[in-house]
Amino acid sequence: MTDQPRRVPEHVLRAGAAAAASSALVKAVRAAESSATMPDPARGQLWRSCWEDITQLVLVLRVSQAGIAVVAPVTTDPPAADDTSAVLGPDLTVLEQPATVWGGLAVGVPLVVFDLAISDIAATVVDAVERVAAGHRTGVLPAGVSVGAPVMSAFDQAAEVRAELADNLEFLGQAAWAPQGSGSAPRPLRELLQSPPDLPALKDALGLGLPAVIDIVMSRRPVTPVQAAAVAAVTGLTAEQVLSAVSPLPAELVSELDRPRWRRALRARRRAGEPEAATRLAVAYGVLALAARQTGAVSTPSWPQRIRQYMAASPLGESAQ
Amino acid sequence: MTPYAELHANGQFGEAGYNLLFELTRQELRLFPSLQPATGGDNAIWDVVGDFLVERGRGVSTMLLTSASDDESVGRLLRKSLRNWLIDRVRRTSRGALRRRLTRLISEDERFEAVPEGQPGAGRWRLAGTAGPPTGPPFATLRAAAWGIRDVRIPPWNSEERRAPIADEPSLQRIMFAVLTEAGGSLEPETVVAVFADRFPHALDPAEVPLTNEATEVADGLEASDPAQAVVDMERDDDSARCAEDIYAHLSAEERRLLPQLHGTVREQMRATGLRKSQTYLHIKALRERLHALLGDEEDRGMMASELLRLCGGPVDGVPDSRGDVPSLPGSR
Repeated sequence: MTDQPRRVPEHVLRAGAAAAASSALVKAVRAAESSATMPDPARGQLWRSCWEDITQLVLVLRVSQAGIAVVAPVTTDPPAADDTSAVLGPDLTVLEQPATVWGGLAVGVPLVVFDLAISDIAATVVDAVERVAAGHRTGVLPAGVSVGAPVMSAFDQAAEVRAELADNLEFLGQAAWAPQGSGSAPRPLRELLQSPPDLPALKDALGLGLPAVIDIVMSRRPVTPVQAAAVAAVTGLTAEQVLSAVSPLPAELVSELDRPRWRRALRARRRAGEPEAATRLAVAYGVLALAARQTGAVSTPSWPQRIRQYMAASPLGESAQ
Repeated sequence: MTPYAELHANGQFGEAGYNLLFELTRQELRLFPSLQPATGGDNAIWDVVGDFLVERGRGVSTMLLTSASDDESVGRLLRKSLRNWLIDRVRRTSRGALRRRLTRLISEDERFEAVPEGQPGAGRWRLAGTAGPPTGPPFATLRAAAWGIRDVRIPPWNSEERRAPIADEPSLQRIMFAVLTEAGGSLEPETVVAVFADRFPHALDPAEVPLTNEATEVADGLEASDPAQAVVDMERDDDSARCAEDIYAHLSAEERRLLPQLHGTVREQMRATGLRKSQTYLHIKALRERLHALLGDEEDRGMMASELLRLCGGPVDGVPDSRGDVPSLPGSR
């Protein structure tokens, strides 16, 4: 791109102004972004969901006990639908724009992908979305709700959109940041090493101080994938072994950090280029270390309290050091 | 302000957003030669930007405001929307070209006619000399009639031509005759266009994306084969080889990469497309449909498939000589 902005022709400015999103939506998004707390997802809510470089507007159909919400992708561009999709008229949502809810693609996704609660949709409309997705066409659909046309060919644009959405939802459904095996027996790094670790070499490779390196060797501190590769190069282990050799995280702590209420604070702690998973890991182990220091207290703080304490006590960005 | 901040402040693009859109449009248009403005310069690009905003702008602004979480995702999502719209534009212009081609066929072939003014169904198409009423048989019936025509010939296509021919004149005539006979009356032209579009998906799909350098080299290599290879080639069935080369010319660069993986594992196919599972599956399905349309039910299709695979750089031995192979058969879609 050139450094100098181009002069935008009048006819483009007019077209752009006519294409503005609804003021109701702008207000809703601003309100959600400035809200002090983010709720847990609930049926009928429109959410922005994202993980890594995949982002998707979704409608929550139901939330299960296990921290999983079943969602359907929602699109306003391109104008496409299939015969398991409900097309909602402009009056039915804050989008004030025809929107396709791809009920046939509904899947369960972990709470960790929920980012921004934008608005609610009427229960009767959500019911209709589910009926359309299930192929139950009996009964009258609410005013403003219609059913998409069947996809006739692989060359139909709706087929391409549907495939991309299915891939997005599958990716979001697999979002995870806690080491596999969290909640099971630990496999500390020092036990995997055949000989005493070369601490100076690890210091150099990781660019960390000795206490931080010892914490990593003792599996008291998490490692990012990049750090795991550096440790692997020094120790002769594989990066996968290094990544697996961390203390388990309590499942309750992982579930708590998955809740949308923490996401903004976690995102604020990310350093440029750092994956969200690495930030979450660092915070989780920081909270765990704090909890270890608090053992023996008369009343054990809850995980939300400990997370708040840790966030308050640890300056932004420290987690990634 | 950045494009993301502009959208959140006003729900629409500002100076940064328009400039981003301009740059993305300039880049994406390179992928669609048939859509490139006849005249160069910024004004022509801005015109395309304006058309995009008129046709898709509101949905795109809404999508960006609800889905993008930062400037990086604004750029990524906007590029995707723009590309979808350009593909749709190519398909619309291709459909227009297909309709013009069929209109010409109706007017030039004395076996067909447009229903004259003053008669029921004026403007519809029917067999000449019949007085069949306006009719509307199920699409599947007409489709079956179109696909029932065998030995459809696809003329050679020089990729430098703007648009690939869908099929040779006699093939189009035979299909039109079969479809109008099956209709038993007059059909809306748009219905007939839809049947032909289904029968010849390569006529609508934007396989106009320029070949990558790699693919161009493969194509160049075909013409520069050594004399020994030329003798071997002559021993092949000439028709099969020529047909395969014509079909090869109709395939996009991605399809040429994907074709040798048609029977590969999902992982191999995903590697060829660079996409995830569902999109890769769709591309495989589309390629099968396109091959079916292009190869048809030729008796020597097995040989053509082998030749096509060779052109695409795949192992010829890996092509089973089976009618259920490379192209899917009618009804299997």
